[in-house]
Amino acid sequence: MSIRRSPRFSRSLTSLGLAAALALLGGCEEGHEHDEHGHEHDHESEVITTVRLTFAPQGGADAVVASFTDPDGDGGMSGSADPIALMAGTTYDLRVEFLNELEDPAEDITAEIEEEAEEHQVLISGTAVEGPATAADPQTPVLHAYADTESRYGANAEGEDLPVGLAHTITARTVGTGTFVVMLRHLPELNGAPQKEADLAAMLAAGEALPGDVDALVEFELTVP
Amino acid sequence: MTGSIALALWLGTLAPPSPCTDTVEGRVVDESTGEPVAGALVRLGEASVETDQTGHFELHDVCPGDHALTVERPEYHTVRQQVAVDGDTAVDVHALPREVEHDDHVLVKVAATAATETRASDTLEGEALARTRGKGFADAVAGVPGVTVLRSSAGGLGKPIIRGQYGRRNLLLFDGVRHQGQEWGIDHAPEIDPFSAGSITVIKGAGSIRHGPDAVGGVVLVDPPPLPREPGVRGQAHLVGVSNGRQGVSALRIDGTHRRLPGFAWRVEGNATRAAGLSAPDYPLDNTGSLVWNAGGSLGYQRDAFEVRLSYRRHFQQAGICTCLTIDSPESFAQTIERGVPVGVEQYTSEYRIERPFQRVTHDLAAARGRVMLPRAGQLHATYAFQDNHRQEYAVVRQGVEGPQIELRLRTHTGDVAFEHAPVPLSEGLWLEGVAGVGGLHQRNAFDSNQTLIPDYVQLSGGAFVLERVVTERFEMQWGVRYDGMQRTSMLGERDYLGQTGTGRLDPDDCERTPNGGGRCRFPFHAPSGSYGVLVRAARGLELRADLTSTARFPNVDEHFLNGIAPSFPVLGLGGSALGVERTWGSSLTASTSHRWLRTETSGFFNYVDEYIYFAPEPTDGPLGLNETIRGTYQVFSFRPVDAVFYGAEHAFVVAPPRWPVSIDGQLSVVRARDVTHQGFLVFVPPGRYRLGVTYRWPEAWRLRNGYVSVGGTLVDHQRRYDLAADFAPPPPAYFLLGAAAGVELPLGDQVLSLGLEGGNLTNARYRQYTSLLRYFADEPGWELRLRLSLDFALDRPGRHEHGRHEHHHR
Repeated sequence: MSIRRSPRFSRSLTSLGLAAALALLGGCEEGHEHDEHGHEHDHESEVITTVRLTFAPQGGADAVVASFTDPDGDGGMSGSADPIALMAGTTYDLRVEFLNELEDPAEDITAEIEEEAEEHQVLISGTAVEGPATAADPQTPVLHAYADTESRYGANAEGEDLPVGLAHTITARTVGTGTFVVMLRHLPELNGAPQKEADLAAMLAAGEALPGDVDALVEFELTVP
Repeated sequence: MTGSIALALWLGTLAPPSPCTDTVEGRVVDESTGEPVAGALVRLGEASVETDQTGHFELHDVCPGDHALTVERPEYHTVRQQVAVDGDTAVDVHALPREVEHDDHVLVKVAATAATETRASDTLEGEALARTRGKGFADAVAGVPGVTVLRSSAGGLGKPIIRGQYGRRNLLLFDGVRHQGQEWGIDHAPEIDPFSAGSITVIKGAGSIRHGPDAVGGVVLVDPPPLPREPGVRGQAHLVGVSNGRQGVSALRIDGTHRRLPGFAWRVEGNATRAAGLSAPDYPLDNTGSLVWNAGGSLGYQRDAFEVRLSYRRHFQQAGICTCLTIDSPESFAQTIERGVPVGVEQYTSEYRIERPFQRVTHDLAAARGRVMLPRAGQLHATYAFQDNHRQEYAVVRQGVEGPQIELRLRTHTGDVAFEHAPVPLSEGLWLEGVAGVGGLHQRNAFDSNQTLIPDYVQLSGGAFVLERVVTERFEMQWGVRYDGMQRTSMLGERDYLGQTGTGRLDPDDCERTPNGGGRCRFPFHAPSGSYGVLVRAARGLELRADLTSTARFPNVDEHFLNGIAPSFPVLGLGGSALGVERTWGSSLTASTSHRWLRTETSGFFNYVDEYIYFAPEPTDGPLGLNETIRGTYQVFSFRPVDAVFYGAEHAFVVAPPRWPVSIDGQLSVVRARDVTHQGFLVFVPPGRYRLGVTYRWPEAWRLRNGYVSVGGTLVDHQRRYDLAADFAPPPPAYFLLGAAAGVELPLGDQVLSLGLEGGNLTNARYRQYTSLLRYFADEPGWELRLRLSLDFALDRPGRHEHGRHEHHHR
């Protein structure tokens, strides 16, 4: 059963071994060059530094704009949010925008979310809100409803035509103060199946863990004087 | 087929005995000195005996025929030889001391005197190492008492925890060169190829005079087998298949010497591992597939007066990170932990395809070594090594984004020179031996990402040491001193610099401003280390070792400048540039006994760490406690100095009654750690671990030898000492893992084929491991079967041919 080889074979094997070793050393050099090129890769990440809310009163008065900004990104200085003040008895069209202001000029992430509307959803919650993502409470200062669906930003290829949450309708109904929380959820397909489902907002309202990752979660102070 | 082999084994054991009245006697001598070796365990088939003071042994009532004789003693390589018994037979055995091998074959291991270790140490080699083939580096080492694994979130990877310390507080040496990778992240696994090892030694305990600062937990030495000196071409091939993750591993190593150039030897080796996602008992761990490969080669040339060796190897790993690790707000993170089962688990699959998020790492190591024998003076060793560690981390991103989100490249040049002086006789039977050396390092790290995390840096360091020992037959005393200096210049970008100085964590006086608005911050460190140890061979079969050390560790770049969010954890991490040297005062006591039927090793340790750099939460009511980020309000963790104590014990035993085919082995390890400053506990300290196993060795039958069947259980306790403020979830409950293994060797002429089958977590227990990053999100993998096939082959043994005219290099 033993494998015996002639000395000639062994010699050729020795040379083969050497050749392989040299090839490996050569491969190293090649690899280095490749890595140098590799360094020029973009390191784009989903950096979002700013969430801008524009509340445009239906009927044409001046819009209320409030932003959360963390201008130095994660770490360093803490981010901060502008207070929101809405007029009681007014209905607003709310537009939500996401920006990366580390770039100059600022990068508009909103367009990318529109492109991938079927994998993203903005959820509005907080103590100032009654809406799909909160428990029913007629005492809250504002009422929230989605004002867009996926088909607004492109063909709706997967499943139902679900809300995206870049546009909302906010009704300031009673005087009060509370938090207004904006969450952007990234829900990419998992093994070919969509993770974005119709009951996402209801899950948040029920305090259940959500699928996907959080891309943004910011809290504003909202007052209806 | 299997049935017939089993039947044959039974028939083999039940066959009527032939008249067994022969005596086998002989003497075991040290191959290098010719001195007798006392207390060596000689086994012949099922019988065993120890050699006496003159190295002599006798075995009675031996049956005629061919027998496998093995001789074992910890300081020597296990000798295996075939003995043909026909009437009373005499055998001479030459045992090769391990130290001599280090001197002779492994060219440059700084301070290859292999000074007797005065701390607890364990070496995996031979059969014990063979059984780990196909496992990752950390898992291979984890069989040693006192060593566990800090399991990373990426498929199958992890790093060893030695006596409660991991990552930067352990030294890993590959072939005598300190491994230089990104070791600061909790999920950064060391890029070491366990297939390349001929032996893996774990030295437990603080301090390493020879290998440099930073060894708080211990040192792991991964040594490749020596290059061949005998003429011929031989090698090893392995095939391993693992059921969980449908994993396949293949490995090949070929060694040879050159016919026309005596003293010239070469090696080529490579291996590849492909695994699909692992499965926990109730669901697959989505996206935990991995791909790992290694390739390397060595060339060596050896004459009587000098040796040189060149080697190069590349390690590549790409490992998916479990889908269950989501990036979430602190509230949702808590909900996920509360839920106990990952969200969307119904859609989880086990696939070979690796998707975002994943890590990709390439590690290159090129080394040149030389050794010169200086007549009468001693030996001079020199090593130069270059390591290039390139790590890329890919996060889940929008489709328009390509490439990695984090890229780190660490390039390290090291040079070491050591001089081993020839033993100096002080008086009759009393010798002075020792080694002295210097080493230097130049390291450059480049970090690339849109977010801040750690700065780029250039580090220069150097050290010098002297290690001397007095040796008598029954007593050894060793002392060493070391001095290290290091200077690191970190280049902070504008945003990072303003953020760190703005929050008061960096003093602008330590930095000079750069034209781009950032800061260039230079921090020098220097500190001495020392050790003192004794070894007493108190009585036959009893050895006592004691060790006292004081060792320094300089803060790593992340401990000074970390500024960002830890991937997958809702924690904002901050460094502190005011951190200074962390000093460990260590002590340990080890007792080993070796009797005819019982071998034990017991070790206890107590370490006091002055200004232990600890990553802990800032008080939430303080100015830095909470940080508003775009993904929610994060708890801030920072590196702060606390005084800490680590203490614990390990015990291991083997009961192997002579003439019995059954042996019992067990081990226990316990570590305790306390933050003395705040009177609290520290996180990620492994809970108590207890193991018990039974092994039955097959009698030799047909041509099958070294056959065994073993069953073992490991109980891992619940960690009752924890600090929930510094963690996200309480420690998981205790768990019990059942394992079993069987193996056999089949000699085929010059080749040896060995087969092993091993089962892990056979009860398919659902459990979570306190020292695993997965524990917050999902269960650990369930049962697995591991089939291992290894072939030791000799392609050519010219000694057997007429042409074979070769010089043999013996001392």
